[in-house]
Amino acid sequence: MQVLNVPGVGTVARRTAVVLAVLGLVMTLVAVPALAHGEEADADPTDLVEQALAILVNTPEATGEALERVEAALAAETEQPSGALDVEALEAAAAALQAGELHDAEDALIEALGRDAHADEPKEPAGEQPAATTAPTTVAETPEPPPPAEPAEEPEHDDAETAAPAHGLTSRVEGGLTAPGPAETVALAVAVLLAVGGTVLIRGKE
Amino acid sequence: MAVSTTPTEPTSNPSRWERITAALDERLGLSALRYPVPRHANTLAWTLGGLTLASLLLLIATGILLAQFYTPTPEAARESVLHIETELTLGSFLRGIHIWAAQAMFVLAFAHLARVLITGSYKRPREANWLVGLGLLAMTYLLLFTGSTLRWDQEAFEAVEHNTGLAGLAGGLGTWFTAEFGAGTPLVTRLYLAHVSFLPAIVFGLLVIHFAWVRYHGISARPDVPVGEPDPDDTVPFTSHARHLVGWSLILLAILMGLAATTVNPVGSAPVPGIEVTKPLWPFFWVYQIENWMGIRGLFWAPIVVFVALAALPFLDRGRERRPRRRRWVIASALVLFGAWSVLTIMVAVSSPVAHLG
Repeated sequence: MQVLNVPGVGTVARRTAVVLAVLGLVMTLVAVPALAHGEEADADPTDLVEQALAILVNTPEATGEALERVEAALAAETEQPSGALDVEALEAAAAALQAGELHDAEDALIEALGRDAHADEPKEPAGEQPAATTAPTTVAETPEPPPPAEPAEEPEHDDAETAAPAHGLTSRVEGGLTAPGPAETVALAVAVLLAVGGTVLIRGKE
Repeated sequence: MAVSTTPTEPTSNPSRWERITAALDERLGLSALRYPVPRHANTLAWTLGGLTLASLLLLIATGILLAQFYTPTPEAARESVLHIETELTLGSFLRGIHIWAAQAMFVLAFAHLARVLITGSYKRPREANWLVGLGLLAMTYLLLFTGSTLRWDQEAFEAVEHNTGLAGLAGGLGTWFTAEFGAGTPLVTRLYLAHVSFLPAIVFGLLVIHFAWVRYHGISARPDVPVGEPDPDDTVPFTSHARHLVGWSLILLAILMGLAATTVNPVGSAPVPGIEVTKPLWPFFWVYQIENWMGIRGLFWAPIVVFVALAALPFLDRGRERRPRRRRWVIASALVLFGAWSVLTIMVAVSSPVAHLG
């Protein structure tokens, strides 16, 4: 190899190649095949509906996976009703998913969980920003779940890590470009001044 | 021509300004900062390390402000970030600067590493400082990781699940990352503590060593100067280099402010266990793609292999030659590594999330 024929470094390069090859081999030997998409949908029906909702929110293109979970939740609820889910809303969600009506499906899933999809208005960013600044910020809300009637016992650790959020399951802020509000415009003006000041410092005399 | 680096001799009739600076210098020793550094230190390429530090300082400043409004518990973490993003005046802007500065620090640290690698500045007698620099890079990755989990949204939750899997592979070393360690203190709380306490403490410890050794060995010569030969470049006082660094830092701050003012950084939906529907922050895309191919073990071994290879570099490339054209195998290896990193990153950027954990 040409790169290995540089005078004085050939031995070193060959040694490097051997080390990297051994490391690569170790990696290959210890590696296991990546697991298949998703996991078995054998969880609690409520968990399945929450998973379907999260899939819809985060990967709207994966409606098939969401539908699988909704259907599994429907089957489980039909077979052994738990009363935790609104079956009618769940059926509506399945129909909406099949029709490609993702927003309706999201609403129906929230209702299936016993929550009101339209209880809260979308949140606006803080300050005196004009409506334009909120354009990429979509916060769909589900209401706060009712507080426990009495102090709950210490939860299992795993449960504690995913405790029900006050802002609801699907509330979120979408990233992207936004038009600056008045405060941000001032910040932009300051940024320009800083950039000018920085340039002066760099280009100034020794 | 070398610039004088000694304190200005007092004139017979000093002005008021000269008297003030002389008085301050007598008490604060400011003239000690006028030690000589090579003139090429004032180029952008030799300022990248300092700019990485500037990003870190900005992160600390914005992080302290954000911490006033952040609640590090599973129940309230995401809600408090939503509050910062949607209700707090200039909260989105502040969070934006923090997030962009974190990415800037990552990019600048890698650019600094690339400059050191290309110019052979890791060679004798700077091998140990190269290793300290790699330690700082690893800490940067850990700070990025812990920071990205603090939103405690779906993406953060999935990232932590992956690292719990990694902790299993690491055996006893991974105990800290398991839910069982410190039961009763949620993982997100411990991640927050790591992000704001011991990781920054380690970074500062390493930085002190890094800068002390830069001062001891001096700023490296241009690559056409072989190892062991004196740097023929003119010198300028360090204060001149510091002024350039402040200038570039102001421009960096301006860019970050511009980005923060014109973009919104996302906060995802509440975490739901049992699914994997998100991708990590882009600096982690390369290991994410390796995990797609090789599973969680790939995620474990790939960074170790890369860091070991980088750590071995000064001990493999020991010649006196520093010119990139005379170190073809090093430059070729670095290009291959960077190319692979770029391809893996792009592959994940254009693909859908993949589930890895069973």
